[in-house]
Amino acid sequence: MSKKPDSFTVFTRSLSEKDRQTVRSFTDGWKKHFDLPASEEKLLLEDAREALMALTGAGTDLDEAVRRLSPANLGGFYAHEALSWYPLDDAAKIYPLSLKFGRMPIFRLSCYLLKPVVPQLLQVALDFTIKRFPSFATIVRRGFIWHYLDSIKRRFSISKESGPPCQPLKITAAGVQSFRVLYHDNRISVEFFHVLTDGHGGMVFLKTLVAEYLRLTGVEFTPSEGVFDINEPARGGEFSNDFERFCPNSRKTGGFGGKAALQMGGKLSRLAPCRVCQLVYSTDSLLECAHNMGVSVTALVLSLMFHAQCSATESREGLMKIQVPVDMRHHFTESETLRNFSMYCSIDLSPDQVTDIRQTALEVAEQLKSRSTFEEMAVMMTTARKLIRSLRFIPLIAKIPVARFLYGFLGDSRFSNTLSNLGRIMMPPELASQIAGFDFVLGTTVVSRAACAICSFGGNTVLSVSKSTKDPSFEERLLALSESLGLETRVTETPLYE
Amino acid sequence: MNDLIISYPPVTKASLFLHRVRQTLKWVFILALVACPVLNIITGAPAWSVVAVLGVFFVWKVFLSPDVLERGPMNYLFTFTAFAMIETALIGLLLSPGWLGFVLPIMGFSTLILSVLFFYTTSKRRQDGIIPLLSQTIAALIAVGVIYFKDGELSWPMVVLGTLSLVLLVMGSIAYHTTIAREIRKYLHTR
Repeated sequence: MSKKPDSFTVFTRSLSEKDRQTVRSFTDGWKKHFDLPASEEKLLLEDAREALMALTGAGTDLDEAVRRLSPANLGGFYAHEALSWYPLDDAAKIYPLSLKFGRMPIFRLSCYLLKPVVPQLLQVALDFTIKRFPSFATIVRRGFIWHYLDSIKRRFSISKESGPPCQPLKITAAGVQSFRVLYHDNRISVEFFHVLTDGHGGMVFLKTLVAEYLRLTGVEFTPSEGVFDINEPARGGEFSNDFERFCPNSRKTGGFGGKAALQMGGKLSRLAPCRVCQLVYSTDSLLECAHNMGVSVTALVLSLMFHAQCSATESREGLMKIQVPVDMRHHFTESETLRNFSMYCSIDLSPDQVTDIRQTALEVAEQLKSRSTFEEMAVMMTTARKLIRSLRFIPLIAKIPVARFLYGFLGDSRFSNTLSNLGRIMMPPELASQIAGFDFVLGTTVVSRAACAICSFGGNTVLSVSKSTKDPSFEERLLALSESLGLETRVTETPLYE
Repeated sequence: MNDLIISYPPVTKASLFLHRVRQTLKWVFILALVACPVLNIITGAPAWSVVAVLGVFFVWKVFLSPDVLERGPMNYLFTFTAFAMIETALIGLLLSPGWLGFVLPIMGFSTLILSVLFFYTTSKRRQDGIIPLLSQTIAALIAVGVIYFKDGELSWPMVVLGTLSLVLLVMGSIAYHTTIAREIRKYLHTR
């Protein structure tokens, strides 16, 4: 019995001799760009073939499809030996130290397109894009003193979304990837192990990936607004440890201590996050409401969170503390790093101070202003730098147990919640018209019952609440408060994962 | 406010089997960690509880709370054989003396041979196995050196272990000197 021909063979048989020749030189062109194990090369070649069939199947002219999928976009990434490696930045150093089985700091950035995602094109978009982000094409490895990022050469794969957001990545084996690209309906998501990058760097990667995907679908654009040209080489500053480069060497030190915060109630779930609830606001109404109160959107949302948190706990003892990451690129505008470059400040209120939303928002705005100043951040940066320098001759084997204890029970319990605001996401106008929105989801930490993240695009602002308890009182109160302020709000949530 | 529709795939039931096994065994192991030394002290027998406690720790560490990073075949082999040798050493020292100097080096050179086989057959990226293999080889050489300077003579398994590790070190340094230098630089970095 003869073997059934595969779909690509059937496809090529349906072409004219001239077109067959075009396809042959196209696949030969791809093969020239690889020097990987045979199994990886086979997968990459399969990507090219699948994408070619998807494009021509959708009515694209063969020559145009071949132009879009040109192997020149692979560059030398898959042909060169993996030689580069990167020491972890100051913020990333704690993450692998505190890793435990089933727990990993992950965040997710997603882009919603106007049309369903074509996985074959997304895979090729990733094949093309990854070379522009060499510090993402890495795996975390253990050194004697510190972990480090070691570059890997392989085909980085996409997968269909199936489980809860922000689940730990399997990074145990050699050569696996430290981020995942997922698709579901019209959504492209990238989940990053925080050791690779922060929200800023992750967003640059996602925007560039989406831009490349849209180019493959036929949208032409000029790279701008944080979308990189994938065929330009990466600049050295993109993977520098800017905590070290810009350390202000402040005379004062401190900023990391503090008592445990008042936590929300509710039993911690076994799987975290066990649910993600997303509130979609009209950006205009949110801005108007914030401006009427004389505060920023961050202060308004923090105020809502403090009020909602009061409803999610029965205890009145202690301070509710919300951790607010501060992007240090605002203070050091010459930074171009795609690695972690954020510090944080803590906004603290006692339950008794939380009475009126406007008053709370003004108090929060005051704290935000005074605690995220350059001077405050300089103190934290200097302290972190000094701590890291003092630990540089202590082996990992001694650091790991201490770090796990400090991070899990002292570090994490210092905050009741987190609010990370990526602000307004911009895209080149040709691409923006193809995009419905963005969202940003944080993974949960050890003790806190919720972690919130917010970003805006077009007319929408999405507030994502990741929960590690099934008790819904926090997000229910958040919604009720939003509606009481007259904010246009829509709610979506994931199923409960247990 | 435009139509941003957010949807998620249907629920796939998470498997909690391993979680439940871990939770149950955690308490069994904690009980064992307390009960073994107490029983050992009460009965006044040789210190078997040290061997038992280490065994419990090993099962927990390797099977129920494994490393999240670098859990490749070479690392498993390294952890497993290191544990086996420590357990053997404890049994030899605490419970049944007299044979240790003979058995341990046999385990040592068997491990080295296995590691070399693993190095060439299982690792997708050869450099991932360099540091574990180098560590084993150097540890073996140090052990042989210490025994020689302490006793002034070597049993045949010790000679085999010493020779094998020396050959591996020399051959490896010739064949992989660039990779070894690069891996050591990464492994020992302090930045």
